[in-house]
Amino acid sequence: MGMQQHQAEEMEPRFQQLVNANSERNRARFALEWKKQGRRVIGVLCPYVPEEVIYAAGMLPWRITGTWQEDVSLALAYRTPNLDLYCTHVLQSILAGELDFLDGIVMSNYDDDRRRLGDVLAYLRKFPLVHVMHLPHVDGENSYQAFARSIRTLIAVLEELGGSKILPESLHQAIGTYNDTRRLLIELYSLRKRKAPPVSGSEALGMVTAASIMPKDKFNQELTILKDYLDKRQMRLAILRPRILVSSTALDNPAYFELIEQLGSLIAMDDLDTGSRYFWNTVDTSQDPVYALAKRYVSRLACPRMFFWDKQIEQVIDWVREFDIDGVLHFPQMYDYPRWFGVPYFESRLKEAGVPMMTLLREYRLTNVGQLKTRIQAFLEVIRAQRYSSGAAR
Amino acid sequence: MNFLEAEIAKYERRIQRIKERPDNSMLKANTLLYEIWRDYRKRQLEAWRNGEPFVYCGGVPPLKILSTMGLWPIYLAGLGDRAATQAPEAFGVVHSMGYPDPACDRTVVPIGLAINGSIPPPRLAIGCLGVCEAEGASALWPARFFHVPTFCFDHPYEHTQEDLHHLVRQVHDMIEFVEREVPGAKYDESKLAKLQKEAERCQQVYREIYELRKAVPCPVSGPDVFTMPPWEINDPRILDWLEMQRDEIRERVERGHGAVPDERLRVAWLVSGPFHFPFMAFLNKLGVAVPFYEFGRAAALFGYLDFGSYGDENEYGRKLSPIEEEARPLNNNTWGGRATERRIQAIMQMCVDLKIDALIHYQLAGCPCNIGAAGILADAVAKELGLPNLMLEGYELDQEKFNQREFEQRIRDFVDICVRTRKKR
Repeated sequence: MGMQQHQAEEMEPRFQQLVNANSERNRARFALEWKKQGRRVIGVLCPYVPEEVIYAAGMLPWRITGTWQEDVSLALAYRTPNLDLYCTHVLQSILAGELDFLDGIVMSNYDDDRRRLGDVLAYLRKFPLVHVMHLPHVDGENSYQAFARSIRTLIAVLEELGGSKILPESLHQAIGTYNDTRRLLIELYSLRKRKAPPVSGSEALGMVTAASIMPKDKFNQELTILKDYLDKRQMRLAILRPRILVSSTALDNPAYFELIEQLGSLIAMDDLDTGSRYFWNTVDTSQDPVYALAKRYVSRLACPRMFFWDKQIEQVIDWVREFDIDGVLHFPQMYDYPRWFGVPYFESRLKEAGVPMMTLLREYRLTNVGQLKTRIQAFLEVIRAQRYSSGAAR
Repeated sequence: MNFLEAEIAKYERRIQRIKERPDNSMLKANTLLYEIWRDYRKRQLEAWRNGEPFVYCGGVPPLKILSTMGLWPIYLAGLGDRAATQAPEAFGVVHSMGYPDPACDRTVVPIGLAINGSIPPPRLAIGCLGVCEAEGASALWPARFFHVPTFCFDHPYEHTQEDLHHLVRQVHDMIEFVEREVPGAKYDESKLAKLQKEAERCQQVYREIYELRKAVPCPVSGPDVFTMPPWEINDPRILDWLEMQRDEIRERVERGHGAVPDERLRVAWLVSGPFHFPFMAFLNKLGVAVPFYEFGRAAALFGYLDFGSYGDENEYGRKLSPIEEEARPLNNNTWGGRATERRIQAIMQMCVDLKIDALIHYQLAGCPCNIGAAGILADAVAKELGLPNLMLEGYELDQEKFNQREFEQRIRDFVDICVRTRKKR
């Protein structure tokens, strides 16, 4: 008991540090430390950018989180309020000088909004590099070849920025490191299948967002050190039912998950680009690395931006079963138009599969808390009532 | 009355009105245009009744290939543009299915019409992203609803030979897909080549019309500036209509006739507008000529940017095959790909060519494609050409959200300021 307590005293703060790495106060830390070593930091604005390439170039890929503050007045000089809020908040951060440490930004034509954000950034010339990769919308060999071409262009662009070649060995090594990250996170997520998982949904989200801003070898090291502890950890949530899966895009603020869990539920799994979709599929190291990266990124678990909606929905339905999910909270950001188009189909498929779900629109930053609480609470009540009436074990 | 029947009735009313009360500011060629549209809707209606295969097109895939294969393509957003009357009912349908409210209405209204049975159901759906995601996705949703197979084009970001090859491969895939899914559908290259020759002649006339619009005073009135034939079909009268239009405009130019009495300002109108309201007629009354209405394919159609058209050998440095000719237009929309650079270039050239004094951007609500860069576009035009911009935002088809008084007042004030402050041409 004493040993366990000692371990907890040592490991828990370490774990919390990781969970809070992407908080407003902490998130630039790793980037600034990297820069102190004379190295470059590249802002990543899209979950489909093959970060391995940036890492292989000796640069730190750093997922950009937009400001979580209310004021977006600087961004509104270039955007209107009814556009993707993540992009608006990112632009606000950029214009406010919060991201001046970046040596460049790499993104994809993920959706029209991000495409246009890329145009605005290129026009403003705030960074020495703003590079937009073409990301196909469909799965298949044509798309892998097309994205492989995009990756080769990215390699050339980064070589020019860095002034040195990206060696094949460096790319192999980077892929290996990233695959390790993915395996570690998949292992962590498998612990969430337990009736009493060791991490809450908000803690899991905190960890994945930490991975997206830290040097991967350091993240891997930390998570490896914490592995045994996490396996035995007792998570602090008292109420572990209903078990919820949250599906969204650009949800990077764990406070949203804390709010949901504080209402008496457990977020046992997620379908997020900032969560499971960030790491779920590994890169095949037996193939040409550029092609293998292209295939992994194009064909991996999809968000509605990719036009193979069925694959995403089928994966969510599989997870509902694997993680013993009681209900799905579909939580699109307001003005996330690609996701909106998929809403009716997503809803109808989950309904057919007998999965309780609710779609609730949210802002990018946590706000309208009262309204959210009311709606989510009602949803949780519905799920509880359905479980009770079906005689499901509590 | 379904949408097609309503359209037929609309065009017949217009033809009748022109006979009874012709408006001399409008082009006489409009009668032929309305007849083309009316007849097209009649043919669609008959095809629907006969169970012929319709294909929903989100965006603009190679329509000529589809029609040579015996399909009836419906360009959904283009249909949406003409559905202001039916829009309220369509909104009710899509919102009841969980689709959130503030979205691009021209892409969701056709979905409502489809689900309501007001337009023919699809046998297939093809999504195309040459313009925007919403257009591409607008075919996928009804396809899921009707459980029909879908094909999606992936549009590259650049214009290289490799990008053209990427599109050509997909065009071949699309043909295979259609032949597989629609028994009896067969690609016929000789038919396609013939249609492309006709299209080449049409594009030549468009270029001539563009040259004529440079005249001062503007020979074309606002309501005439954005007329489009139904490109989904191959009606030889479309060339007749274009030539009639050109000849009428030329005759006006020779006479020095301006379509707007006392033209005091020349404005480029961008993107969209409240299509349920006669806003171009309103501009006419203010003495505002609109030599140009900008939309994504305008530069390619009217030839004022370096996009090639049918038969052009300069864009890729060689003659293209018929399938390459169909792949080419998939990527020459100024709103697609690395758009804002190209769009800024295209708009600046158009402003200089047509002696534009000011720009009015009607930013379509729910359209990140245009709103997302409207600010920098306006900024660039103001800095490089010294032209003022009015930024409006609104819906195209949603009448409930339209405030006519505010709309008119903002335009009136803008026009007055521009007239007072513009430099001499």
